[in-house]
Amino acid sequence: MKSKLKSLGKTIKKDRKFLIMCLPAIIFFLIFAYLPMPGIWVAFVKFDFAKGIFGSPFVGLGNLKFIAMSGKLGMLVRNTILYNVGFIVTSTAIQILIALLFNELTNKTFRKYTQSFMILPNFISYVLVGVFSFALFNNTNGILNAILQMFGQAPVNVYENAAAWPFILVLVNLWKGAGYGSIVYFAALMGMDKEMLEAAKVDGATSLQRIRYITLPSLRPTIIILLLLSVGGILHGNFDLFYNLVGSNNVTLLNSTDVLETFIFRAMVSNSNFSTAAAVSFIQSIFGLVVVLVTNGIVKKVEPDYALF
Amino acid sequence: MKLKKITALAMTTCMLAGLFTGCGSSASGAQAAAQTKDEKNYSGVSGNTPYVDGKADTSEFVTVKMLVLGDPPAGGTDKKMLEKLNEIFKEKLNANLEISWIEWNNYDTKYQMELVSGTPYDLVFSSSTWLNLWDNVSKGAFMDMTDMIPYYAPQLWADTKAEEWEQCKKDDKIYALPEHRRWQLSTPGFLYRLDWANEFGIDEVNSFDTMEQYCDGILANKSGVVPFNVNATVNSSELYTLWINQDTDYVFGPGTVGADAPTANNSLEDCWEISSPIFQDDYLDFAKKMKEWGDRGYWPQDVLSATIDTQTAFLAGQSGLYHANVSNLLPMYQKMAEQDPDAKLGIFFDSEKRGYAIADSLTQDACSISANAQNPERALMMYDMFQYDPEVYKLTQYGIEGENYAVDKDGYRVKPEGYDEQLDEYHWDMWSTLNDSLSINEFNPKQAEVDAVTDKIKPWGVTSPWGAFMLDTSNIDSEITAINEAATTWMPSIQFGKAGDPKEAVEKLRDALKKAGIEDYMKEVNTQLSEYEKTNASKTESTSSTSATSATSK
Repeated sequence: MKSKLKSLGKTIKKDRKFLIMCLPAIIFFLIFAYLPMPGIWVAFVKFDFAKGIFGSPFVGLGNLKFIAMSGKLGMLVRNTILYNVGFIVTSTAIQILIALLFNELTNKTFRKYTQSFMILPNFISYVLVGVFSFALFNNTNGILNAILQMFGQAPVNVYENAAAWPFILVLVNLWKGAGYGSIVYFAALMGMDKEMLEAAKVDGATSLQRIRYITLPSLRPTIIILLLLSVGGILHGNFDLFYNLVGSNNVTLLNSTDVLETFIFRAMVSNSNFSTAAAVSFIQSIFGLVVVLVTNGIVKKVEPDYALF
Repeated sequence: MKLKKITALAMTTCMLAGLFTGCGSSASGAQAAAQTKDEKNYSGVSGNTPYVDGKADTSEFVTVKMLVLGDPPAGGTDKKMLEKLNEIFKEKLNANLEISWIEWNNYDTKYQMELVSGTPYDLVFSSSTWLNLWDNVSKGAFMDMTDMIPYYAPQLWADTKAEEWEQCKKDDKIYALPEHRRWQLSTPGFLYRLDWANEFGIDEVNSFDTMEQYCDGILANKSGVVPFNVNATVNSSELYTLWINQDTDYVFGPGTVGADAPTANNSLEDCWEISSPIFQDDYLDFAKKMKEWGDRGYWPQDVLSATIDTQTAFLAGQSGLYHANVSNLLPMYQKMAEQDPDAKLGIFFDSEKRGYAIADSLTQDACSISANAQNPERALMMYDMFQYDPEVYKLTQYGIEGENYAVDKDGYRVKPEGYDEQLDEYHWDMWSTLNDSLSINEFNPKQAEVDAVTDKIKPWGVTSPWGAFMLDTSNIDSEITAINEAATTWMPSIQFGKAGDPKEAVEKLRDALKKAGIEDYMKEVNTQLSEYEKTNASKTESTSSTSATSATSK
């Protein structure tokens, strides 16, 4: 113990310049992330404005009782996790693909323009995305139905078709995030040692072979780290996406579009009880932490170098 | 040096002690003061304004502090008004008024903090519906004004009926000054195009049947117009509320849960018990009818996910109906006149058939005196002038004539020449002092029609039969949340006929509500209601009988 402390002291002394440079970040996290943490106690009390967070009566997990009462917990967890898995898998694949394609482009001006266009959707608010999708799919004057009618097909009522929505939501999520997400992969590719590729080219490897045997393996650390970061939020539904595209109470679609967030929104919207909201988000975070720890543990076993910690 | 430290410490301790005891100490001090009280003489609470020989003695100069909610006028017009106002107060009351504002941002926390900190405000804005008036009263934040009002606010005292004071009382003591001289009635209804209805041969839309004819008329004759161009939100309950008011005896009172209201009080007469309209057989008929209406296209096919602003659509002639509270419907007459001068409007009130409207709580916007106020007597004298002195009323409500407002030759309030919204805008946020008889109205070209509507619904007003009953939700919090979730999941979809087969959907809703514990909820609410009824039996008897007569007399 003593020697450990001593070595810690030594490290501090040795790296003090770097530590000073880190200080703003350390202070930031202390004030905004660690100091407010005791406030999570609000999740376990029946909050009373007059008594404050720590004076309110303790109820343990009582704030979560209403989810159990609804009997929908299984469906909600299933939807939330499946959607997130879908989002993570598809966007990782597409983002890598886009980065690879950009990497192969030789015309720099063309690359820059296309890149900007692909990033653009990321800056469009989900409220507008909801309006776009309504303009596309609605029954009265939607673009999709106008096209179908032009070709003499019967119109489809997308907003009453539960099966269509998993695909629509995944596609919208891709459209919005893929371009922006590809930047990290593209940056990793830019940092790659070009000599390896040139050597492979001299040895007669086709461009597909170069991607398969050189580029992709060198992207592996990036993929794993980004994956580790995203699995932490696997129990958090993207409220913006679901609420704006589907609405929170389209009952015909709920079985395939209801996630924890939209459910809680419906339950809370007319009685703002923030103990309950805090309790749910606390459980989601705990679950996310466990998933990250487990995944990291697996990565550590298989590829110790790529683990986060 | 050391002495200085000790004094500092002592002072801090005193201040802290003062902070913690806060309200308590001064209240007990007030009780300790010797009380003389008869028709002509009253010593008052603070002692600085005794009432002697039928007249308040204002020889001691005091400063009255007032706390209101809202952002102060951007151009500082309130301060200019206050200068003028204080000239009047100096002369008439030998007092000065100071106003503090709690800005809207995070107002509820700030308001509570002000009360807890024990700042000696004399007049404090309060509200039983959105600022926990009664809760704060029970915590000792406000002063009992019962004895003072007749002496120091005689006009208010004379102008307020006994049953109006009843709503301002807790344990028979008055803690709030009511908002009772501004006529307002909250009752929702459907705004429709009277000119279109006449075109289809309908004199008036006033029932489910005429509404159906009107909608069919629109579908047949007005291409491109959706009869009710609306989108569902979690709180969509327009048609459900209409059904409750037209076809059942239910009333929405304290026991109604959430915005979708799957429970309601049985009727105006039988108001001390709640039950759920959803479990009535009629509800299924309603659901079937709504499915039929939805299939016919009375509202957009994708109503559940659409994004439509019905008010805008109505004004643009793209919607035949617009549902809102009467206070939001009346301004539509003027707005519609600007858009389309030929359009004629009518309102189909939800409670048209029964002709009743439960009046808003008189303490929705109220004024209280904080428990440790220094000059409650002078504050009440000022308050009396705010509401009943024509000069003070105009000054406080509208600002300085010629700068913030002007009166045109017909007696309407207009913007003066050179008026700049940024600099000259003025408002007064002690809303409870509004007094219709002293108000100067703004010009409305459709005033006659608006008056006709208000004349029609004025007699509908019924005082709330539940008095100051407040539901204690501590044992049923989970149930309320779960019921809300079940209700918002199904009820908007069912009322728009978009939940699939109505029979199946209603079954599922009932099932979800049962699972959410609606029976336990109703049991708890009914216990609380009947207990309250028993303890307040004498009072409630009189109010419920008046409400019953006014409801049946229509």
